[in-house]
Amino acid sequence: MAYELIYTSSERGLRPGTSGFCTVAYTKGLPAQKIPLLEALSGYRNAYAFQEGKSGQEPVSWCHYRSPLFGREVSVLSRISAAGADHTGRSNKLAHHILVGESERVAGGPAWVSLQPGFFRETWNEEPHCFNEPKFLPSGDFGDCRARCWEALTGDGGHAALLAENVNGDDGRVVVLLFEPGMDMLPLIGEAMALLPWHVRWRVTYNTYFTALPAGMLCTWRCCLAGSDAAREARRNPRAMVIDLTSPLPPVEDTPMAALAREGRRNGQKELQSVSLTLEEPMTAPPPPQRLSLRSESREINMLTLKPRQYR
Amino acid sequence: MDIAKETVTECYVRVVNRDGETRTCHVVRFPCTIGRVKERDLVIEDPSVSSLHASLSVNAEGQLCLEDLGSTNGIYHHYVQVPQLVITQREEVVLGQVTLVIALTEAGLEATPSVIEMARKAMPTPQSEMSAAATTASAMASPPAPTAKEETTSKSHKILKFNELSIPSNPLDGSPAATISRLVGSGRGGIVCPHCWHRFAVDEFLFIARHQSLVGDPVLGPEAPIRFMPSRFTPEGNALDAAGMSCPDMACPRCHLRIPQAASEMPPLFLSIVGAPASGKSYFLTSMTWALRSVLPRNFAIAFTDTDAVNNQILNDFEETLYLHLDPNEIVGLRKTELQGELYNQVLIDNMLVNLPKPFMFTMMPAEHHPRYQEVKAGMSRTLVLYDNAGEHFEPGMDQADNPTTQHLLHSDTIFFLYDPTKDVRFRRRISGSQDPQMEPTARVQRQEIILTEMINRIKKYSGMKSGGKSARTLLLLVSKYDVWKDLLDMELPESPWQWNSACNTCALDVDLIKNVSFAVRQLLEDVCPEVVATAESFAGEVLYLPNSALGHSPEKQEDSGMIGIRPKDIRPFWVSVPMLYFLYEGGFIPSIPEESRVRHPEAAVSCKLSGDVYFVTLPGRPMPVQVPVFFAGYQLRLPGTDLWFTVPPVKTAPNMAET
Ligand SMILES: [Zn+2]
Repeated sequence: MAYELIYTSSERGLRPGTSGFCTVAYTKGLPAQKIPLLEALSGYRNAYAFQEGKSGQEPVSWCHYRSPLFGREVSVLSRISAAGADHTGRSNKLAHHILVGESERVAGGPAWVSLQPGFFRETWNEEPHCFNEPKFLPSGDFGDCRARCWEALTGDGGHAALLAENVNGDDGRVVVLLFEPGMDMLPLIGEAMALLPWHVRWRVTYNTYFTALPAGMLCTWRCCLAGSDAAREARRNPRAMVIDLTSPLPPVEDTPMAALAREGRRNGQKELQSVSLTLEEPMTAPPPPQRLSLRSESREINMLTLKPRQYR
Repeated sequence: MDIAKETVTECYVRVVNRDGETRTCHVVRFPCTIGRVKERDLVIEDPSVSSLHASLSVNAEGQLCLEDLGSTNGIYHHYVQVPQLVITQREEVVLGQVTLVIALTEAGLEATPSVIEMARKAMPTPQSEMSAAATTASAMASPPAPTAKEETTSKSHKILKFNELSIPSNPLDGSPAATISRLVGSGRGGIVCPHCWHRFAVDEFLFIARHQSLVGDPVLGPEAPIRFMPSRFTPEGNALDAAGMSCPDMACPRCHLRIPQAASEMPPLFLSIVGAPASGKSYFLTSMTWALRSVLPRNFAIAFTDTDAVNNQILNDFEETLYLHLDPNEIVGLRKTELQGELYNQVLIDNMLVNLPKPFMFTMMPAEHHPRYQEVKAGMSRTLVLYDNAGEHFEPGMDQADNPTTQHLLHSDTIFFLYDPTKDVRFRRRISGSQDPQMEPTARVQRQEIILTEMINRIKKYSGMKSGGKSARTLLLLVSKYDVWKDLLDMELPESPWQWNSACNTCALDVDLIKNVSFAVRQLLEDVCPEVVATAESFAGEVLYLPNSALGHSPEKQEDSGMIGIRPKDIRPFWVSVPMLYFLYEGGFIPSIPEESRVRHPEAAVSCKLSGDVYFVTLPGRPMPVQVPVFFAGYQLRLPGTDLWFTVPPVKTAPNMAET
């Protein structure tokens, strides 16, 4: 079952004696040792100085993290945002975390779930309390794979494939997206994820407003505010692919994945999986035109590595 | 089995020494400190046990808790090193070469004892703590037998004696190798990491690889450069990483965080700033460092600079926000201090996520025009290390093994406790007509002596201080937001309590004035919130009460956001550098006004009676005696509200002090 936890600055926290930044709500039964781990993921860095008065335009950090600290097949889906002034007249933030177990994974993947209206709390003005019911994850999937937001932003939906093509399990190359304030990054992440088969989607980690990698966490797709410390750091990382959305992007290779992003064809899962096989190929060498045979009869094969599944 | 439903009031500890001899102790007072020296509550005379090894205490849930207090050889439980252990039933743990069986009842001690033997066989051979102290050792030096997976981790912890390394014969002055050579030769007891407060020997320093391929650190994560124990150096004295790159940066062997070279070379002075949430700690810290940058060099011939820009970046941003903002009319502000994020380093120690507050570091050195430059250069060159904790960290229950964010309290050379009178309803009643938004009837109030008590309890717990003893450190109790309550203090205070002293060729601190102000503030607090005075003086042998105002002006509410801030043109900090100057005076870094230049006031005829560490002073025309703690002895004091001056005589024997 999925557990949730809410962390913000409040006059009174859930644990007796706490106030200020503290946990104000969580699902009954959330293992106690997970609470400090989720709290530790609640860091938020304001993009604007206090006096700029742009608290309404602060980027929102939508993220999907995995870590051995939480368990092998456990994901953390979070939304962390600036939240105006707290009860003392000082800056506040709101972090809402959802611990998703393997059985709760829905086909749409983490970004699709995060895009569902009302799934995350965007305000909190309740008394501290425990949620009696586990968090319910909506089921569903993207309607098609056409990358409309990418198309609107860069002029070519095929750019969404730049992210999806770099996914290769936990060892996937880090992709850094440099964005400027006002760009809504979650739909872009969602469209790139829509290109992947559903079981792969839950292996992809991301943060739509990445400032630093929390200890013990994995994060493959990182959206960094252009000009920020994180962006400078990313440019120095030789193992990261940097996509700068603040300037025109070079044309993208005509890969099947790019075609899928442009046309949005969704002729059944077969089509998608065949595309995902090409992920094995390095970015620089476009995949050979011939189709690799699809051994979908073997569910014990990792579709990304073509090796037997390691887990379970 | 769960027999720990009720609060634990006693426990039994069976000590099994390396020869198999046993003795059983009945523990009825907590915390109970465990260590090798006779000052501990439970003394274990074995060289593998640290002088202060562990403590048994009762946690907030009423459970018995065994905690490692930074020992060399650690605590092992079922072959795994643990920082702490909650004991609800019979447990066996190994401290060095000694096994402890701990149970809540005497009968509970008796159970399958075979684990002792198994545990001992599985243990790495602990080194002698005695020899460790004399030469080189640390908790990381004797990790459990490594598994294949841990090989890279443990390799970096292998102890290489410094003289086994191929150190260049003449490393460049200022290079890491030169620093290490000098430190080894200086006989300094070791380095205390400013990040995790782990004490380690100089030759345990790790180096930070620079080659792009050498990334993936077990403590700092897959993207951090590898830390390594050097075996080769460049002729200039930098370490060489596995790919042959020259590496100048050094790191702590425990938390793997970078320690600037200057900070390792100049002994640290740790300063802890404690206070309730929203008591203005960040504003105070910012105003203090900003003021010290000019006051110390200009008036006291001490250079005060950032040890390195990377570590102090956030504090520098704070300073720029308040003091270098372009528009003097625009409301600026500092954000509420978070409990994670940019002010903290998150590391994985023993696979546990640990949050460490980032230290701010300043280098203090006598300036070349200091009158005794040559003489004091070595002794006065220090690294000032301070932390900006969120106030939440000081609240009861927030001190956890994975969140040891306030453990600097144990190492701090001085503690500034920020007391915010606007959070005390009794103070508010006495202050009228203030426009300060923090004084609005709806603004939050808080009992701040609870934070002070919690701070004291933590220090006692970490240090194994006896409950009745007093700390030898001076506690500086800073009553903040002086601009709001100054009418309550019957004194006109000068902006700068120091004067030029031609004998020293620097300024000299007016300690007489400071002590007298401290007495006046103490009298006020005694009147308004006596429990704060009582709590502070129950802990520290000396308490200095100082007024200060980080901004010197009430903040304003930002119209649209509802957040409070200040206009730069209004900022006029008051006495923000005085606490630090007093601390430096106590440490002999700056002079006080000499005896012959002091102003003496005619004194009233008084009678003093000493009782414990308090004088009962009877003044003419006053039916009740005034209580004056002995730490005011020798200074001329004025009774607030009167013109009566008096001095209490110094006490011959110092009051009972107990401190590590
Ligand atoms: Zn350290």
